[in-house]
Amino acid sequence: MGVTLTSRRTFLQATVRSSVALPLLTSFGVAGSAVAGTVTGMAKAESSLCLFEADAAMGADMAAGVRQMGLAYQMLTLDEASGWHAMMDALASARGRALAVLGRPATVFAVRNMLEPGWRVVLEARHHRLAGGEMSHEFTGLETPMAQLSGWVDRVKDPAQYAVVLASMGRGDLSSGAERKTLDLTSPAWPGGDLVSLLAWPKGAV
Amino acid sequence: MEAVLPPGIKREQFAALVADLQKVVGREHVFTDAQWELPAYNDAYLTTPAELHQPSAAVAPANVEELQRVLEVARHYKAPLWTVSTGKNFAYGGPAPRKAGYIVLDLKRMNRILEVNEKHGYAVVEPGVSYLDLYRHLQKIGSKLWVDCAAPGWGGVLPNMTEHGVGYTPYGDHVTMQCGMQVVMADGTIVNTGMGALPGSQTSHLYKYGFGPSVDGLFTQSNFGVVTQIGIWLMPEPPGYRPYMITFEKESDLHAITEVLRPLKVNMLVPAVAMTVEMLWEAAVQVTRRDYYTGKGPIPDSVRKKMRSDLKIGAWNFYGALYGPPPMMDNTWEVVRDAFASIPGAKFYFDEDRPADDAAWQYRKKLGAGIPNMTEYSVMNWIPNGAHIDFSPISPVTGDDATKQYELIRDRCNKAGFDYCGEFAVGWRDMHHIFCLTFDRYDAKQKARANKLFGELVDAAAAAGYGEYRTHIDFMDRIAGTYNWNDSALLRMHEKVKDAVDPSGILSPGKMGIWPKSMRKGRA
Repeated sequence: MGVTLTSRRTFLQATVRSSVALPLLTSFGVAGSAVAGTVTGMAKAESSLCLFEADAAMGADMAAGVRQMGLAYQMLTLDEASGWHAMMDALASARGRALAVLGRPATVFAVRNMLEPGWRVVLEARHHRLAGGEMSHEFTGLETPMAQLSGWVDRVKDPAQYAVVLASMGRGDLSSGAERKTLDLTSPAWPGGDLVSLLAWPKGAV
Repeated sequence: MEAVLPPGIKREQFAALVADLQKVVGREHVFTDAQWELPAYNDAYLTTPAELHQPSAAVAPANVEELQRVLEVARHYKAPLWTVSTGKNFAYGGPAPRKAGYIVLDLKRMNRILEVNEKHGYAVVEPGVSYLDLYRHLQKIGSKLWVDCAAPGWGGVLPNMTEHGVGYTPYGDHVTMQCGMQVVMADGTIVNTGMGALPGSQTSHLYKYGFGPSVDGLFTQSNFGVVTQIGIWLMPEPPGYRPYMITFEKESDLHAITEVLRPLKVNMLVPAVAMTVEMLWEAAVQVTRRDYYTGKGPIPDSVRKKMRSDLKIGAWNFYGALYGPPPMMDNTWEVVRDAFASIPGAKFYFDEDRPADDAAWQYRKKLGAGIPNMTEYSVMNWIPNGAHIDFSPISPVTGDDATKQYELIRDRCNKAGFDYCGEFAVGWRDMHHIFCLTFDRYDAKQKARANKLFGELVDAAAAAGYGEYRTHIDFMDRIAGTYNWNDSALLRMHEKVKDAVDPSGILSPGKMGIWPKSMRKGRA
């Protein structure tokens, strides 16, 4: 791609202008006619829901990022009953859509426990900083979404950019016998602490 | 993970069993896919191989009628069921069954709030109602009743009570606050306990004991029936609420704190389930271990001191609250403050004295007013891939006992390379001592050490005369075995009851060490 991604804004501009997110979307079942449109239009058609922790690093940037992509999102918090209820409402209204979740490990673990067995968690990643300052990304899940994401990981600079890529991955389609694999990658350091992300598809997609 | 079968059931029979369950609840509410569905019924915090607790299927009835038909199917095939509902029960086995092959009976869909009685202060709920659900409902209808919740608000009102859980307000002893119960027995019979046995009863949820033996307790922490409804008393919003925190400088202050507290508690000057919390629990809610220390083994004293200073916490931290009209709270506070002020170094805080970003204070302040939240779950961020099993002995409210239990656990856990992270929940005459044994769930060696340590703690506590109130599925037999006075007379009585009320042995075999006759040889 040869794009230097210096900020969330340039990342998004690059994503939208060159439609770099399109391969991700097309590979997960977005209709051909939608691919011909803008990223925003496509995202609405496929309509992933992005859940990310409000008080994790760059929560506000994540919100701006997914908004610009036209994706639905819901902030997560463990601290307020109203936030938990908002998440549960979002999940209830998200039937049939893919979910991208990003937050601190305990938060994502808690969300995962509210998803299953209604959703299929097709990919989970642990993102933590190594002693040398690099970011480690440990993926577990299905090969197809893992392969798609792995091509992006060394290009995203922070959790906000990662959230945009993750959320752009719509609902997938594959056989139930698909094998789970693991993949370890590194990237330049992200700001903030350890994070976990996951991608879940609705029951029936798998 | 490979699919497993219920014990003693062949593959063809299992297929027929699943088909029969699907006829009862619909295909979408019978889960058999080992890759995508059944992991939801595993325990992510196991210290033993997951294969030991892998369910063969899960079934989720929507109502009592469906539940009765599920029981009929289970009796027909002699298939063991493992009852769970909402709430997660992490630290005690999560939704995972005691043994591989059981079918998880998931009551999450039975989630109706059947009644809120504002006048008499109670609610009637089904098993799938969480504290967050009930709180939301009370807010929606403008109720002036409070919930008393578990620290993670996703806990279930009914299942937390049946597991003898406690909360944080004056209504924190959940078993005490339960009144009236509906149980479906293994043979499908529906039983209303207490006053509810009277047709048209006006007092099902007002008087606990009914006429004749009071049997509600038989259905808590047991496998004698499936509890499908309870009445739970709710505290009316008081005219005033003023939570407080008292910090103590020294580890050895635990003795004095407990001695000062006992008369305050017994005389109801500390009306709520108060908490004496060790510093690492406080820290783990808001920072990570790596923020302060990257070495192995227990955190050194010098580092602990810096954490206390940064976070404005003590070696021990006491949380209580005043309830009532302001003049009453003022008077009570004078007594409480003066009593604890006798401990050198005690520092007193109200809401306005704590930093606004103090996550530990903020969530405990909410808990004391029955406002559910999930903040305490952040403790699992303390170490990478954080997981925990809780060792939970009961202690008398004395300085000697608190110190003895604390040292018994601390020394063994430090020797095993773990930090002590724990708290004492102070009830009417006892303390639930909760030691949160935290480990990396992807580190096989740590898990093995945690498992070994836990067993050592069970034995050491029993030898000192302390028993646990609740435990992880892997330790149910071991702990049941410590309650062995008079040749295990209590366990033998439990087994007689089990054989009488569940002769097919289908309900949660092995729960709390109680096995049906056909499986007693399998006791681990």
